[in-house]
Amino acid sequence: MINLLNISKNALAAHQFSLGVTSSNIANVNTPGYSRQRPELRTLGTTDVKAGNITLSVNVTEVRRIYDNHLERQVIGQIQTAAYSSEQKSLLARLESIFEESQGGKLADNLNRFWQAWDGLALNPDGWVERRALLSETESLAHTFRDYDASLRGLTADIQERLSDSIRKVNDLLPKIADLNRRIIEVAKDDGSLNSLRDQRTELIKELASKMEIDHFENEWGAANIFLANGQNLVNNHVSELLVLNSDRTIMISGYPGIIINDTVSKAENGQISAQLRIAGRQIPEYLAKLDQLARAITEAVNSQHRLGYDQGGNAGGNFFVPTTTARGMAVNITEPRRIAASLTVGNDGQNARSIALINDKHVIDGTATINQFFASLVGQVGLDLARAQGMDEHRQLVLNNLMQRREEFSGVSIDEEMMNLIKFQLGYNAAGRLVKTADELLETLIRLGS
Amino acid sequence: MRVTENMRFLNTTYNLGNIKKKHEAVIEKLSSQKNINRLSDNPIGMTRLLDLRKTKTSLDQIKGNINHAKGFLSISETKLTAVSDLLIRAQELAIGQATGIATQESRAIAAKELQEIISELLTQANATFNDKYIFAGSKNSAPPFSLADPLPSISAVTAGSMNHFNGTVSAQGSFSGTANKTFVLQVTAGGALADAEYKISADGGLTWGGTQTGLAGPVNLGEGIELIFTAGNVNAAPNDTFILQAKAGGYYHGNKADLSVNLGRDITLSYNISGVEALGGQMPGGVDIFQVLIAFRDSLINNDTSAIQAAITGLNSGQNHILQAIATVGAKMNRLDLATDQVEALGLEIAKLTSEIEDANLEDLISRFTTSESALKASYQVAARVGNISLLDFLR
Repeated sequence: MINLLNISKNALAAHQFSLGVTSSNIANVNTPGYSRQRPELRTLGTTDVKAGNITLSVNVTEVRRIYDNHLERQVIGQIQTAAYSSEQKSLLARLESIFEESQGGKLADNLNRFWQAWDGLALNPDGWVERRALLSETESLAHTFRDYDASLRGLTADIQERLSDSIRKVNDLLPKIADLNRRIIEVAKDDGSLNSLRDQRTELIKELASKMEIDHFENEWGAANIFLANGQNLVNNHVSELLVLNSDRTIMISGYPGIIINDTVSKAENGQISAQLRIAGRQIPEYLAKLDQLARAITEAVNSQHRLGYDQGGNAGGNFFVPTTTARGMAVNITEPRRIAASLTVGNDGQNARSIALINDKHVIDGTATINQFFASLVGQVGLDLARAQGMDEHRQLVLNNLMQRREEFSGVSIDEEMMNLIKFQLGYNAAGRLVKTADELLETLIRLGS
Repeated sequence: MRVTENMRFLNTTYNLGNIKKKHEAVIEKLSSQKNINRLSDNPIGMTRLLDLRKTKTSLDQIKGNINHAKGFLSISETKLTAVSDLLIRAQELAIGQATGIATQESRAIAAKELQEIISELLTQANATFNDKYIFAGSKNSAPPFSLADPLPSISAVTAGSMNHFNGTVSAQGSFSGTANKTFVLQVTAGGALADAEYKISADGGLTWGGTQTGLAGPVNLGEGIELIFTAGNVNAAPNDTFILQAKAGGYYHGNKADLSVNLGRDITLSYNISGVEALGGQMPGGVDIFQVLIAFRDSLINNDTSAIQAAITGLNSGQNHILQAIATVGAKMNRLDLATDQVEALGLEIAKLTSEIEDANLEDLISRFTTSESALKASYQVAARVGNISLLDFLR
């Protein structure tokens, strides 16, 4: 008879505990990374028919975290690729705004006006206004070139800042993960008390994954070990490493020789850092090199033609631009309008200005492209790079969204379900209460029998 | 399938964001009326657009060139026609005065009229366009014709304004050439006069003779002219230039250089006719209209009937010469008209292509706008009702 009371006591406790689990689920319905939990109810006790004894009660053996490790790994993998493409997209969008030629008024326009000024001078070779106008168009052209160069270099410096922010964040995350590992290892048996720690750790790993390409697995003690793509350990049980960013945008592990990440080592398109390295280390230098090539072609072509002519003082034309091979070195050599060599003879024929204006139509870049074609294709390339990154990002975000949906489907909290659980456990609790009452009545009957 | 609360919210937010993004894109195009608002909207189109814009600027410039050349040529034509009219009047005078009826008095009166004709001819021959003398070749900042001194002459030597050499240079000899020339001596390697190397051009610096050494003795420029260098305290340096203008016999002071404009890639048109082509002289077998008229005037003053009769022949060939010049101008004008038509047609084509790439298609955009707006409305409605209903509503 006392058994009956014991059974109902256990049932009451188990259901009360289950109601607690349900309420935790409801409370955390909006907590990011929270995995729903389920009480594991098990029968307790024995049945001995011969002795006429049955004591099958219930207890909660563990609180199970509903979690699909495989799915979570997929999410983490996708976070890496999605973070790469989204960072790439936003950095390329900044490049796009530097190369904003669609509304006119920038380099393409400057170039057009520059050649136009030469053609104008050809019509009136001794015109002071035409000469002045040419010089000011040239100043503005050179300035636009230098501006482009400065903007691109400015963006590189910005990316360097972003990189060091990313590294700081990574250095903040690694010890936190190691610390959670330590706390998880310390608890020998996992009956559900570690669920929230694990959830927290998964969230931190996701955050880390958005920064850089990592690999992780959980070892037999429950610690999540973090590796770089090349196998280098970042977190090993409760020990974490420290990353160091060098000024040449290479990343090393503090205390170890050898570069672990740079824009050529990191081939994978994973994580923000990889995108930052790639754009600062490859894309921008590529654009800069093309701008340099353009500046050099203009400088050399104009200078060599200009030297063939004569200025208004009967002097052989010198260099029109300061000889340079870079966009940032672009500058006008001639300060006095009189010194522009507009004519091919010491007379006033304007034919040199006309010849210079014709450079516009010549294939001066590697003998295959005109200056305008070359620049237009550079601008097109910047646009294409961004358009491609946008398309890629859209796709990757969609995949990520789908995976998160699947994760939510599996591990997320459903209010309806929890309500049903609430009703279920409440009913069980009520029934167990009723059991106590019945046991009480039985006892009373027994006592009355004995009295 | 389990459907959790977060799934619903995640999904709704994601889809709402997508629909809003599409809607914004349509709104941007509608409000700017441009299909390309950013490079990435259409990179290939942008590349073509930049190319088209360049072509348009070139076309604008060609239009400017054509207008300039047309203006220049129409002034040239007017002036040449005026010269032709003057010559007709001179021919009438010649025919009138060549007969035996003419007296010394009538010839004196005719000589006065002819003097007026000569002065008028001079004015026409020294006509300007945009402050440039049209019949002067590239020496167009000074009047190309002058009645004073038809003998060959050479100017003083002018040194380049950036020359290092500070000694003196003088010219000697008499010019034996038949056309006006601009001689240029350019130093190619500096040093003391005896060591300096130089080259000589007889066409203003366009083409050069071989490099020679030594400026110490008289330097032969050719065609009877020599330069004498006297050392100063600074030696000659590379690119030091010395310029000398040599005028052949006749009244023309300009040169025969072509002035040309670009009419497109690798197409140029020389739009001027030099004084020699227009009014003759300075070429073997040519006619010098001024010379003819002045000889005619003198023969009138001298009452020399045979010379007056000879002038008729001279005036006739002068008239022919002018008519040829007018025909040349006409041919150039025709070429410009042709070029104008082409440029206009090309301009329209470019404008059309540009518009196709750049300008928004309103009908299409408005229908897309309506579609995306209804989609957006629908998803707002859905979003507002996400989580409106759950089991909770039915528990009491």
